[in-house]
Amino acid sequence: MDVTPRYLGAGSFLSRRDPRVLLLVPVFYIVAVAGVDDLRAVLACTAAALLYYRAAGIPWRGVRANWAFMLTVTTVLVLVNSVLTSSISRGGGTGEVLFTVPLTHTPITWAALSYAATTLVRYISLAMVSFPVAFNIAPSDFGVAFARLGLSQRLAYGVDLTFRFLPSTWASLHETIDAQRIRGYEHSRSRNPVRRLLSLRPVVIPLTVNALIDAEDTVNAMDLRGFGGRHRTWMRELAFDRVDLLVLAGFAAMTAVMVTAKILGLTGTIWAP
Amino acid sequence: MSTDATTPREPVLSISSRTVVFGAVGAALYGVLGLFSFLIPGTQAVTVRPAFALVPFFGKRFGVIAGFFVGLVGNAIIDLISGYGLTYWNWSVANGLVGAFAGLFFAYLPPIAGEALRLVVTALGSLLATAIGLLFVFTDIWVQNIDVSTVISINYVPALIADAIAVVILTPALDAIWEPLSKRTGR
Amino acid sequence: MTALIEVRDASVRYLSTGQTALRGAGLTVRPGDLALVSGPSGCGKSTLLRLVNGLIPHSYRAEVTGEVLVGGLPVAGRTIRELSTVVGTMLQDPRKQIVGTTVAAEIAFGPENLGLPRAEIRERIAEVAGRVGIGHLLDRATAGLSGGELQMVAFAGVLAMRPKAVVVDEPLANLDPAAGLRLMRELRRFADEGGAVVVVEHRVEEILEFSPTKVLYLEEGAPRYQGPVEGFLRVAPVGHVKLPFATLVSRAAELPAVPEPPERAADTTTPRLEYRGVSLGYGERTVLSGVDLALGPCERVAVLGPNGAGKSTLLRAAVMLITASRGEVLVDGSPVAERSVRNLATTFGYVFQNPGQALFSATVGQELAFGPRNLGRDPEEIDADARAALRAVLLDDEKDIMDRPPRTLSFGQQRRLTVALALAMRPRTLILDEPTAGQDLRTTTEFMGHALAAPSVESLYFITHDVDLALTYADRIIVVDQGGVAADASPAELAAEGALWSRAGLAATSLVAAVRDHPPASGAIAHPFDLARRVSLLTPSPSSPTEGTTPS
Ligand SMILES: Nc1ncnc2c1ncn2[C@@H]1O[C@H](COP(=O)(O)OP(=O)(O)OP(=O)(O)O)[C@@H](O)[C@H]1O
Ligand SMILES: Nc1ncnc2c1ncn2[C@@H]1O[C@H](COP(=O)(O)OP(=O)(O)OP(=O)(O)O)[C@@H](O)[C@H]1O
Ligand SMILES: [Mg+2]
Ligand SMILES: [Mg+2]
Repeated sequence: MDVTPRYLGAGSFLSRRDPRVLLLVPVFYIVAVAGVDDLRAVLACTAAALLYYRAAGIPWRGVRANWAFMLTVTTVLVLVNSVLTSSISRGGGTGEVLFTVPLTHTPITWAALSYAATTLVRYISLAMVSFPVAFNIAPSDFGVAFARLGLSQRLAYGVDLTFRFLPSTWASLHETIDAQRIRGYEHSRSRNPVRRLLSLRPVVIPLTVNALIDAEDTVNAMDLRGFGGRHRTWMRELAFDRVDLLVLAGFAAMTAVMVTAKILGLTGTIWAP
Repeated sequence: MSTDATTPREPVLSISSRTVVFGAVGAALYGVLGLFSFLIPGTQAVTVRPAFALVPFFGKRFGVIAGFFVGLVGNAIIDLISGYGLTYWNWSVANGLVGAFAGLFFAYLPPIAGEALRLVVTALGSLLATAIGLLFVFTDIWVQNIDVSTVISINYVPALIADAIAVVILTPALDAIWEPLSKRTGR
Repeated sequence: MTALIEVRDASVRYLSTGQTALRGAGLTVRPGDLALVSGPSGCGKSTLLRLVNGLIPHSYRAEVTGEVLVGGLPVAGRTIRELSTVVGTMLQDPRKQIVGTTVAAEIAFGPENLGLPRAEIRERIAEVAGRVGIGHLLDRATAGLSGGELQMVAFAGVLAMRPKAVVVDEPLANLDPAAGLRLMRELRRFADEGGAVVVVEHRVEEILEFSPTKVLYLEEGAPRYQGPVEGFLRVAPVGHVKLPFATLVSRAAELPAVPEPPERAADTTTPRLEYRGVSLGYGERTVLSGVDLALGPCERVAVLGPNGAGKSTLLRAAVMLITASRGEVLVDGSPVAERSVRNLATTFGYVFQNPGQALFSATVGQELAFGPRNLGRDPEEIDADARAALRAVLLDDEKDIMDRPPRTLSFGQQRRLTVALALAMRPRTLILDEPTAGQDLRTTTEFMGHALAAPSVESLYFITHDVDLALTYADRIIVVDQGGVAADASPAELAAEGALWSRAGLAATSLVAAVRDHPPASGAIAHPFDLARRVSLLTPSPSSPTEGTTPS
């Protein structure tokens, strides 16, 4: 997998938004769907998430692998979480038993299935609103976005720097592996995790130590160019325009509705057909 | 950080350009190496992420803020790249807390001269930081809507075991290599 | 005119190690000056720069005596931020000092930190980019730039702070000669327009072309010479500084004797490494195509070429770190793909550009044992090989060498250790990627001498930007440029080919001119010292030492 930042959604509706919008929407969304057990409510939110994801214009080819991975892991997780464990008892006791899971003898009801579906859909929709963070924000916009969201100027720049270091770290990882391969190094295929971890030392240690030694120069270079003052201009100017505010207001409203419904106890029960 | 008697210790929570750069370097390293993980044979879905060892290491060597940054940003990047998105944001916070606790713990520990003892203390301290920091995943009770026993049995304990293996083996190894170098490159 | 930078009788002791790095050094730089600081590795050059830009005492814990004034005011009373608008600093490796993800962001970094208004920052970016000629790069990601481009971007980032003086630490170490010339021309222009420049550099000859106003030569922290260039050329230690050929001729009497290079067996058998119509690239991008080349089992081959031309790529194919997308790479007559990693590891000892890349063990002894153990050799054999390898690179008399952590060795020692690591695997051919970048002449000479003299090694292939190194140590030179092999000839033939030197990222040094003017009788050319001695006998009245220092 490639770790260099990929700005796949360039030019799309979401990429033209203020990056702060892209960071705030997932926050609203997480609050909105947390603790919601009613499948219909989650599906309603998912519709908004889907619309949002479509607006990101992320080409399918670029993220196919990511989705495949995410879906596999999430499906396994949901199966484990809501079918095989005790969480099924939550409202699963009532209703007609469709079948029982072999071995664990967990009874499966419509409610249980509905609960599993809710969880799955929630994760998928969360991924949909999170993908634009990874693929629709230009790497050099992260720092300024966090700074304008109130994070310390210096730490915000640290986020920019992280993106600066990602590709070079990836490149030196490969060079280190190459350098060791020439010395006859092969990664251990042993089934013993301790042995496998130990066999990573020839790669992890020089990579880390080199990065740290190089970082000393980067610290100097930043000091020498006046980093760390109280005030810092960010050359990239961020301002919410009308559309930005509309998108934010839409998700804020959705969150407000969902939270209210939660407080009123409307979404806390599992929906069964 | 290597400090000696002649200089006052930097305040634990200060943010200098060193903190920023080492935090960023650590997050990038964690982001890159964190993509490599492997299953522990015999368990269901517990994966060892060797790069996790970097989190307490950065906390120990470069302070609370850098440690927190490495865990938080590094894990968030791994999640974003692999496709989880921000769903498990609380795990990123937990990772950050591990780094922060390691930083805090070692900041108040006097320097240890003996090589062997230092290795053991590094391993134990990192393990302790991991155990405490990962407690934050109990927020899964609300985030993932699951109950306490589930969190313990399928989240906290397996994660702790997997990370403990990485931390106990790799963190002291890294630290031992860095020890003589920190004196040379240190300021 | 008042001095911009004034260092008087300065001494520096680092508190972290208690080591004194500078003893009574002085330097005065006025507007319009270009000062050259040189000296062997570890003599305190970088320390002197740190004094001037305020890193000492503000960032490094060090004890400073003497006076350091910048713009007439003491450094100690001002912050690094304040100083950064007066003295701009370029560190040795641009890769480490670039912090922006894009070129524009990188240039903006300094002005942003100063809190300047956006309009002003934009204006500065445009001005500086136009000035150093990188306007077309502004939107590019810094991660994808070549070494030469990076160096220019780093320079632009420094200029954007509008400093009155710039100090530069070894700017030429990683650049091809042409890119180095471009950068030096910009620095010269900066000085001509009223700025002041301090350059730290081992490659003295290249700087001399830009007529520095003064030279400071340090040895073990103490100034050994300070004054104009002419005087420096008269007193500079010949074996330690790379001097213009004319100077060597005029000081022929002082030149040390050069040991005879070991005799090589004749090359008649199958080539060690052969490329047949090979194309190499990364992903979609082809870097080299249609390469036909055969390197003999007993040859010494130097590979020259501009930054990013594909020199490293070419030799990486030999050890299968990259596979040919077309054509075939043969090792000792059979395809490289049929060979195991182990087999290749004993055929080629490959030493990477960056010595730290492979060092991970707690001690030198374990480090040396790692490779051979992977090959399945038995411990006694490994130990004997390790000791022999250390002896070959002259690290064996270092105290407790086997138990030292490898990364605590000095940079030069680490480089030699990596060669020992390769030698411990008993390879027949040694491949070195830029073995001498950033090292002084004496270390270079020793290093190459040992690599050549190692007993098991039949042949040596090395990549370098140092034209003189190639002329001195190779009996065949290959120039890689424009996606293929641009030239392949003996040093003497290559030197005679005038047109080549203005292309392919190369620049003719005074040694090239000398070889051209005094072609050797046979194929191999004599060591520069021997050649200088010979020439000095031919011309009874030696030319003035400054000859050859005018820009060519
Ligand atoms: N941060 C530091 N702490 C302690 N000692 C140091 C530090 N930096 C350099 N030194 C020591 O001070 C001496 C001078 O080092 P300096 O880096 O100035 O040399 P240099 O002339 O720039 O060498 P090179 O050509 O290899 O770059 C060396 O012996 C070095 O080991
Ligand atoms: N791992 C890689 N992935 C993608 N592109 C690469 C990789 N390594 C090198 N390149 C590209 O291939 C080209 C040739 O690179 P190479 O390292 O062979 O050049 P070089 O001649 O050795 O340059 P230098 O003198 O700067 O070391 C460059 O443009 C470089 O950007
Ligand atoms: Mg130096
Ligand atoms: Mg190269």
